[in-house]
This record gives sequence, C-alpha cells and structure tokens, in this order.
Amino acid sequence: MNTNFTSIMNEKHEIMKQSLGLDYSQFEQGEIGFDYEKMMASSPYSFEEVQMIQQQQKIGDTPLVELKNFTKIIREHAEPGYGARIFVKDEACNPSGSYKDRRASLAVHHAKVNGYKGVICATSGNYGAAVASQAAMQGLHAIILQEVFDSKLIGQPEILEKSRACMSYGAEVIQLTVGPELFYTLLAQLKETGYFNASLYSPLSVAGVETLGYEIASECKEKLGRFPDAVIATNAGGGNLTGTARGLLRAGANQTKVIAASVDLKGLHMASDQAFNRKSFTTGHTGFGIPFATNPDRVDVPRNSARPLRYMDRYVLVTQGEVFYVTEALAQIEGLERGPAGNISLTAAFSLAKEMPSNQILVVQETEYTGAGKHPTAQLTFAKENGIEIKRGHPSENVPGEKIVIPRFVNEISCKDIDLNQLRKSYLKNKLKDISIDELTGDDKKYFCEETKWSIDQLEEELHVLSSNRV
Amino acid sequence: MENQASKNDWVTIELTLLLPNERSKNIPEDTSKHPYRAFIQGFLKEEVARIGDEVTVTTLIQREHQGHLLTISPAFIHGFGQPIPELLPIGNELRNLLSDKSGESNEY
Ligand SMILES: Cc1ncc(COP(=O)(O)O)c(C=O)c1O
Repeated sequence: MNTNFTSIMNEKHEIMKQSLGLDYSQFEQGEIGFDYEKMMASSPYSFEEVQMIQQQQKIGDTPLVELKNFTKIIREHAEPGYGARIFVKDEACNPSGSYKDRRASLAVHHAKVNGYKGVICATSGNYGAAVASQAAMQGLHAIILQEVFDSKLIGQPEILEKSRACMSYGAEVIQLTVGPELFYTLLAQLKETGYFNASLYSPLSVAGVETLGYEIASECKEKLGRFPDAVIATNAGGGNLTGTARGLLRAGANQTKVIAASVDLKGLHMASDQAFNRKSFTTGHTGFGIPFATNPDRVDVPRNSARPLRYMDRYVLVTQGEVFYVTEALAQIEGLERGPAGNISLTAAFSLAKEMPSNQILVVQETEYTGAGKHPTAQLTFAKENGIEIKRGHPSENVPGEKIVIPRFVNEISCKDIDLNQLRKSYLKNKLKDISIDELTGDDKKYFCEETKWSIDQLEEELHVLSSNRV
Repeated sequence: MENQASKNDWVTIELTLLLPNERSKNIPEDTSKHPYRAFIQGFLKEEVARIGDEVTVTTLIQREHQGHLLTISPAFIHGFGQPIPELLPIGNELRNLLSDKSGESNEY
C-alpha cells in the first residue's frame, strides 16, 4: 500500500470520479460558484425512497423524548414565563449508536446497487462504525481509515473505541498516525481496491440526514401541535446541521430556528502531533466546525454537500467542562446515559432554553451511544494522564488543552455566540484567494448570496471592503 | 513464547507510509519530523514470526498487507477509566434542586 505521495495526489480527480460514480464538473457555474441544489438533486433516490431504504436498514424513527427534569431546573433559573420545553431525539437508538447511520445508509445502498464490492471512508468518528454496520447488513466489504495515534502511539480512548466498533462489524481498520495525509491514504486505497468512496460530504450522505429533520418536525406537529421553535445541532463538518435543516424545510417547518453548537477548542492545532491528545473531544468542536463552515470545499470530494452557513441562524459555543457536566446530569436526573459528543447541543440547550418563553419547544436533534472510551470518566481520566487539570469552577476558566473546568452550579452553564457575519466574511475571503474580484460573474454573486444569506447589496459592500483591503 | 507468533494468530503489523521528507508540506513541525505510519490487524500468514519481522497478514475482509510484526493478540486497552471526583457529586446536587421543587405542580 506504499505509493508515492505526489503521484497519487496528481490522480486525485480521476480517482474521485471513479470511486463516487459522479462527475462534479456538471454542477460548476460561473468562475467559482456551482449549482448546489442541482448537485443535491443528483442523488437518484427520492425522499420517500430514502425513508424506505432507512427503514429496511433498521435506521430512524428514533424516540423524541422530553427532558422534564431539565426543564424544571432551567425554569428555576429563568425569568418568570421563560424556560422552553426541551426534547431530545434519541439517535443513539440507531443500529451503530448515532445519527451517522442515516448518513451511511444511502452510500452503502448505492455502492451495493451499482456493483461495488466494498466501501471505504476516512473518519475517526461515529461515521466509521455506521459505514461498517451498514456494510455488514448489505454484505459489502468495508475499509475504515482512522487517525488514531500520536507519534508515541498513544490514542484517544474515544477513537480506540471507534476502531474496536468498526472491527466488531467486520471492517478492515487502518489506524494511522496524526496528519492530513489521511486523504492521501484514502486515495491510495480507493485506487487499489476500486471500492466506493462513502464520503461524509457527498450528496448521498447529506440526503440521508434529511429524514432526521423531517421526523422531528412531523412528530412535534403531530404530538405537540406545533413545529419546534428551535432545533440545535452539534456542528463539526456541517452535514448534521445541513441535512437536519433541509429535512425541517421539507416538512414545512420554515419558521424553526436552526442553531449550531460546538465545543470551543480554540488554540489547539488540529494537525499537531503534540496537541492531538490534549483535546478531550474528537468531534463536534471548533477545530472542525469553523474551518468547515468557512472553507467547506476542502474535503475529500470536489464539492461539499454540507454547507452549514446556508442554514444556521445562530452558532454557539460551549466548553468541554460544561458538556461533561450536562452528560452527567442527563444520566443522573433523566436516566439516559449517553456519549458526550452527542451532548454538545444539549449543553447549549441548557443555556438557550432560558431565553425562550415556556410555551416554546426546543429540540436537541441527537444523542449518541456511550461505552468504554466514549464516556466522561474515560475521557477525563485520559485528560488527567495527559497533564490536563480537572477542577470544578466557573466555565470561563476553561482553557482548551490545559484545564477542564466542570461548572459548580447548573446556572453557570452559558453558551457563547459566534458572530455569523464574521464567519461569512472569512468564507468570502477563502473563496476569493485565487481570483480577482473583477472576474466574478453574476452567477458567482448569486451563489455567494445563497452561501452567506446576504442580500446582493450586502455582498457588494463586503466585496468592496475586500478589494480596498487588497490594494 | 511471547514474542513469537504462529500462522493464523491475530496480530498487528506496522507500516511506514511516508518518511518525514516525503510528508505533506503544510503541516506543523512537531508532526512532520515523524514518519507517517499505519497499523493494521489481521491473521498471520507465515508459519512463525517474531516481533519486528517483515510479515503478511490477511484482514477481516480477506485483503493482504505487508509490514513489521508489532503485537501478538493485541488487547483493547480502552476502558472507563477512574471515578472522577469532580463529577460524582453532580447527581445529588441536581436531585436536591429538584426535590426543593417537589411540592410544585408538574404541569406544563
Ligand atoms: C454524535 C455526533 N454528533 C454530531 C457530529 C457532527 O456532525 P457533522 O460533522 O456533520 O457536523 C458527529 C460527527 O462528527 C457525531 O459523531
């Protein structure tokens, strides 16, 4: 499997085309834009077919449960008349224990229907287990590439658990040391095997999540008589939020606010060998959430289907310590022991529900499974072993990679807003790196307005600021 | 013998995919000074082999890979860790908050 780095990278486009069975050039429009909706419509499966495929694959229709004790405690600390009802979609009930089964379902189905012998994906998270589980159901081979170890061969317990889970479904797991060359390894494996690229960022992957948003909207409408007022999604690569938001819209819930939540890991470099084991979350954090939102196309496919900036109305951050606290609370007073990564959005809900009137509905769109390695005790023990200080105190004392502060009081949990316009500006800057502003066509500008939710006037103003900064 | 494996034993092999000078250019120095390595588990093909030997394994999907024998019967070493004193009191703290409210209505 040892192949020359440069030669493989040069074959990138051809390998992608073969392994996805999709030519992305048909979606290009203008100098840098592309037709997003046309790309999403390229999935050969209608929404009803997606629902059927997922039902056959034992996915979805997970319970939407109310967290009444959480709401009671929140109302204690809210202004009179405030404190929305909190519901959580218990996605841990999916076959491999997370919403990622929805994402894997279509890719694996599609690979099978099109005669591929196996599927490959590069992921250290829940998605690997989801692909492996779906492949097991469909009788296909799965190869999962994971970034697991630092140079001393130490791995995060959460990722070691993911390796084990993939093997338990019969997948071949290739564990790798820290580095962005994961992508090179993916290309080399795709080329060598001719397997299907079950990318997290293909249209199939995001289409698979639409059922989640759709189920939330329809169930709220049916049982509670209204669509949710807000839905919170944990945000990393952005497919979770994108698919959920599209599903809400499909169900007609176009007034529902879509809120992104990530764990704040500011200051930890994602490709750094030394920083690798100083994080206590391996997904749902700003190290993915922000670069993916502001530069979505730097992924393993030519165009990313996960475009969270198009859908989010708000983006909030929580600390690692707050998420561990809320994970503990969920087990202790709601009787649901679930994994920390799935509880990032729940932590934000704890803070956001206080701002919402008590007749409103706030939905946390997922949970994930817990187990050895993926558990507050496992992750905090590992943090201590890596020299991270754990203590109780005010969340503002958290320092990613140095200190994890577990709140002393429940009302100390408080999420922080990111300025979405700032994100949109960095997005624009990233997109305009290799092109002069004069070269932009009308299609490009229309595309930017869709990507940023800016009006054309607002966009022109931002372009003006950018071009005057350039000279 | 602990450092000797026999045919069909479940083992881990180590492969060096890229030497430091072959790695991607845009990575931090603390990463790029190390080789890029892979670890794969499978059934040993050779009759016998010792730790460090160049060997072939057959993986769970019947693919073959070559590398250096690293471990024999590799264990799953992750677990639930230690009890965390900073988390243990949280349950009771919250239950106390709830029971202060026990006289109140549960209506929504
Ligand atoms: C349980 C869970 N929730 C949320 C996410 C975030 O999803 P996305 O990467 O699509 O933003 C992930 C994966 O990264 C996950 O495993």
